[in-house]
Amino acid sequence: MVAAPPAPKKPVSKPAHHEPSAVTPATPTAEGVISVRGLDFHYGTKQALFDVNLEIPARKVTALIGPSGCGKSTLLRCFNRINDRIAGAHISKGQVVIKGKNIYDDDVDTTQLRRQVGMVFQKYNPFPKSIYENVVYALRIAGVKKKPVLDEACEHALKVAALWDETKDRLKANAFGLSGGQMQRLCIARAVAVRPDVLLMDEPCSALDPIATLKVEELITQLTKEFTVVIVTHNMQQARRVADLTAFMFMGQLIEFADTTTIFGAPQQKKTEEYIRGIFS
Amino acid sequence: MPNEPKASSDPGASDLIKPPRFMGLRIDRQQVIRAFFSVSAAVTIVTLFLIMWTLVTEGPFRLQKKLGFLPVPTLKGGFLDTYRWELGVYRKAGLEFCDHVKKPLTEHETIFSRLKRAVGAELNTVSKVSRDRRDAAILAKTHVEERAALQREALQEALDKTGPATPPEKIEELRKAVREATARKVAAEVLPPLFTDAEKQKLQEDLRGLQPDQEDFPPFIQELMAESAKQDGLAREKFAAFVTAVDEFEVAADPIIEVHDAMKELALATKELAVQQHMSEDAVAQLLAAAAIAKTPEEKAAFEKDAAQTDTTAIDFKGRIEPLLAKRADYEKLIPAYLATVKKVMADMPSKPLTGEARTLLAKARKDLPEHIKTVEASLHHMSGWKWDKPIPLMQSLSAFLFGGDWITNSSWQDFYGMVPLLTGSLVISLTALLIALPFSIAAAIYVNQFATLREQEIIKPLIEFIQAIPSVVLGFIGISVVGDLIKSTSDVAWLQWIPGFPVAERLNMFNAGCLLALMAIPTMFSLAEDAINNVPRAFSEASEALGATKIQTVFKVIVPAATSGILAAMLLGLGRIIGETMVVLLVAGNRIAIPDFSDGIGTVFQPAHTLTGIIAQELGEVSRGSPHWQALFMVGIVLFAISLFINWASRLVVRKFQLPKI
Amino acid sequence: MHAPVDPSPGGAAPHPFAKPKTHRETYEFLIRQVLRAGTYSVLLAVGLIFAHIIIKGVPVVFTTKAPFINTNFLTKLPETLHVIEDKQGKIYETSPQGSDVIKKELGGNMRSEKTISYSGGGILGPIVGTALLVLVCMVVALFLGIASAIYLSEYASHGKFIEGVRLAILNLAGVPSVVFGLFGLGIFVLSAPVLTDTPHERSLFSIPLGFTYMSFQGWDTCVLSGAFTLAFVILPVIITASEECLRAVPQGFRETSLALGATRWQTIWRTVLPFAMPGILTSSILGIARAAGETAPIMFTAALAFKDKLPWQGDSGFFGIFTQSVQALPYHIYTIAARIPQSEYSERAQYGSVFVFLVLVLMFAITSVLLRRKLRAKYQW
Repeated sequence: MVAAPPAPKKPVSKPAHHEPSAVTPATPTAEGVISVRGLDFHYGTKQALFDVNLEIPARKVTALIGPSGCGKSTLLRCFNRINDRIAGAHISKGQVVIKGKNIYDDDVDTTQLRRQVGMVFQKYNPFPKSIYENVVYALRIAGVKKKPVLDEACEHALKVAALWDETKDRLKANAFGLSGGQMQRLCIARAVAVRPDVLLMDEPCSALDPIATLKVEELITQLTKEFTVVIVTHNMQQARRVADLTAFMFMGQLIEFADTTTIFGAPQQKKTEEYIRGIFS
Repeated sequence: MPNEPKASSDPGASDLIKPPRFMGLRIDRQQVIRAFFSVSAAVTIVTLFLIMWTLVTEGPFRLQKKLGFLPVPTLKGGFLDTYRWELGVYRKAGLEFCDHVKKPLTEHETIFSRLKRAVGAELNTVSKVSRDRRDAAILAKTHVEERAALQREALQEALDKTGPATPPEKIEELRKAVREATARKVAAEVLPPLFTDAEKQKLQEDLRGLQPDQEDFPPFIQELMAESAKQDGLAREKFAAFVTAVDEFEVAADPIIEVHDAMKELALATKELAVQQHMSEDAVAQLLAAAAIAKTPEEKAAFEKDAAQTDTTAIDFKGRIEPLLAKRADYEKLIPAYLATVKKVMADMPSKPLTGEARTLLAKARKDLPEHIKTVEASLHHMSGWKWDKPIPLMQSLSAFLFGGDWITNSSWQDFYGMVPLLTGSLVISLTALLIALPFSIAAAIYVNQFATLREQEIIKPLIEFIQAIPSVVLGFIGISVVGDLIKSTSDVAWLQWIPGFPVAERLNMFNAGCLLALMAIPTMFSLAEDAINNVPRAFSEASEALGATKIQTVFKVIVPAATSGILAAMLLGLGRIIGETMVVLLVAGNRIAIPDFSDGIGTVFQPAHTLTGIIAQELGEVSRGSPHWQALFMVGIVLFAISLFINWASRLVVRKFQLPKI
Repeated sequence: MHAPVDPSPGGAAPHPFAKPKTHRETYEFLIRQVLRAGTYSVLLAVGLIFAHIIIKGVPVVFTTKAPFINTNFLTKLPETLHVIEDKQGKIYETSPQGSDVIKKELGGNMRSEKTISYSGGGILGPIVGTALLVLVCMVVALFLGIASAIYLSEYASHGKFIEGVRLAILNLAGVPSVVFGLFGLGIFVLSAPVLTDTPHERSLFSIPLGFTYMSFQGWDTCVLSGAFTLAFVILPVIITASEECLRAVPQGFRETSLALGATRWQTIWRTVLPFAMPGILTSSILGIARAAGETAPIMFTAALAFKDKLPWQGDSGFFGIFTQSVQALPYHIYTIAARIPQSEYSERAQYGSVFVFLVLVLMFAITSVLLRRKLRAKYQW
């Protein structure tokens, strides 16, 4: 896949009913950890992202919101190239630059990329192994064999995920004995165990009950101490609670990107305002 | 099929009120249809349950008519009962007593054959070359003679003709034909490199001169024979001590064999009588039964008269066993001399044999001989404690079946129905097949599900499943015609001799059967394992890859472990298929009814064996209904049935126990 | 904050996501190739077997001259092959009748005669026998199998008993076919009911019907016994597969149909069966292919090693065809492969029979695949 020159052209194949978005998305910081530059993305012949430009700052929680099918998950899944798994999915234009490198360049090793860009999925998905093995999985994959290193990493990750107190006595127990919220936090611990720079979260609370959701949200705000967090959510209240910055997407386009307070308080775009007021769900 | 024409053609509401009718009767048509399906389901279910009924009533139980018509299964006349009767005769007639003598004799035979092979190996160090040369020359002669047979026979016939004797010129002509044919064949015959070129020429010269009326071997072959005999003599001289010791060992058993033969004769006579008496009893019972349902009084009287005339006097087992027991003294007298010879052999065995073959054989003999002495001493003990009238409990016939080490039928001595040889054969073959099939089917399942392109998948999957359609008898035929020779010729390759069991003695063996059964099991195991891998939630592999695992890491650390239960179940069901397969093992396994000799280690798989399924297929056609042999085969059927149920149960258990949580 | 495993020690890497310099890629490539080799070697083994049978079998069944098919092999009954050699070394292969003629002709010039059982003539008898067995088996198995599946999935109430029945059927699918042979022998050969005026003495019991008796004395070894046994071998498979196909039809179809006022049977006939049929037929035909290939169940229930007449050449009428033993191809192969001494002459008959048999059985399998494709295209939801 060859990166297109970063000249941000207007997307040609834009849907007709779209009002021409003359928006240059507000960029809170000049250069983010993740910079998306003019990204077009396709599933086979169906285009899912249109000319997305976005700078995600370090050590902040950035939320992607928008109605279902707007492309927010697709965009998130571009950041660690997990979309590569889907046959026919590809970018046709643009770049995603992380740590100064376009990750769609040919010489990028996806396994190295994914070690540094962790991901937490919508539905908690621990492996059918013990809690300990789940957490150290990525380390073992990376070839770490020394027990003390693994032990320490496990403890640290579980502490980061605020799960240490609940699980320290039963690290060898099967992960499926945990509650839903605990499993999701275990997945977070598993993702942070290799200490990635970026943590992607794809609607991490959608399968959880309200109390577990609160706990995970609390955890997310804590995570910014160490990580850059990008979270996709369909729950505006959640975005408001956890995110420092919020990007609103609609029909595969980035409509508006600004501080959360701005987005929810004084959105610049009509679409954003309509969405936040609940015109479309 | 009646297709409800009324309902569709007449939508009038009146239909709703009218009582439903069927063929003019006041029956709900839906009820009739339902009843039809229930009945056919019931027929199916009942018949399937009849399987167990058949196995049970033809095996351990037997149907007896109660109240004159109702068949009820009873233990009497079933396998356990008839086999107990047979074992009872075996004891009461003294056959069991004789077998106490036979056991050391059988051991003697095995040990002797090993010692003989060891002697042969030792003698070979001296005499092998000359003997091989002799044999090669004789073989060449036979070949040439066979190939020139047409001409030779014609000449022979002419020579034999008397009437008017064949004119000499005619004979000369025929001789010439023989000479020409022989010369042609000699030229074609390839002589082994045992001979020098000069010798080869000599031999060819000899062979060219062969004529049918020439009785002596040609001179060069005679030379070779003399040389061989000389070398043999030298060899025997060199190993004289060992040779004589083994010879003495062989003859030492002769007096015991004589006593044993005498004992056997006595016992068999008694057994004969017992069997006859049993048959008479049966005949009487049948006659009486016939009399009971006879139509006319005359018929009835005739039947009863016949029954009364049949001789069913009980046999005086006690009186007949006395002379047999008396033989024990003869046997005891022979023992000290025999044991002395055994000990002498142990002493005279060369401590440092020259050949590797002799070394292993003698090591075995050294281990076996002390055991043998113990067996001999134990036999005396057994015989003194033996009682002819010790009763045989019913359960003993069951344990004799389940744990008996001999399956001997149609024997002039005693039939035994012990299924251990068959079971071990089945198990060894199945395990071999499983070990071969497992890596292939799992590799294929992983490859097809995880790595193959869509196009590859579309081709490979149906092809592998297609293997299932190959009939087992065809695979068995391939085993006979191709795989057997392939194994045999591979095993003769010199640089493969490190493989245990090579060179193999039999073309048809357990390994051969295992290979083909593996091929049969692969489709089953592949499909199920592929399903299991396919059922692993995508979330697992996605999570693994998001953590930076490569495809292979994901497959082997997450997907395969998560699919373990399915793969195990696939393995078990594959095993079920293998163990129940009949034709391949019947054709290919070699059908030797004996417990495999496990001292060969892995090489054991190259021995022939018989199996549970094979024995039914082979023997059931030749036995009469209701005989203990017939019932024993149905007992084997029950064992197979139980094994298949057990495997099904185990695979379900595995699936349930290791079921993945739903996420 | 950096990852504990730094991909680029010494700063050699130009960017943070460069490939670390390890042998991992080679290693993964190797593993992948090993897996692929495993897969293809299975296919290769099967391919070699097929090739061997085709190479050896085609010359027996086909000829180079018109009509290109060895009609004798396909239209004659098996017979003993006589191989006669005269004193000039000429070899005659002939039938038993032919051997008498040749022997008379040769007179004193005959050198030797060999006879090879069952290896002469053709294999029409076994082909016809197998066809009869499969035909009857198909009728019985499809009828009972599909009807039972419809009952289990559409009519039976869900309860412990029905679950037990399902479990039993599932278990029976794993029972060795030779055990079914024993069952067929015990039930169909020795104790199935027949109508007869003179009940046999082995009859379990006989019910007087006035004009005759219904006696449970069995059908003896015959086509019916064999075919019923084969049907029960594959019945568990057919029931399980058919039920699965019936259940795969969405419940909504049935509810919609019933809600529109259709009766239970109309619903089944018009909205369930059409969609389930492709699957049912596919699995059934595969099952029948399996039945055609089975040997063990017919060994004691139907098959004969040798018979010099076709089933309809008797004088017992139409039903006589089904109440006599027949030769069957798998059993014929077993006989000539394992029960007669092997020689170069018996090989011809062996490979010919195996080739024909394989072609017949695979035709079933291919039919089922094609049928599935066709029906799938027609009924899709």
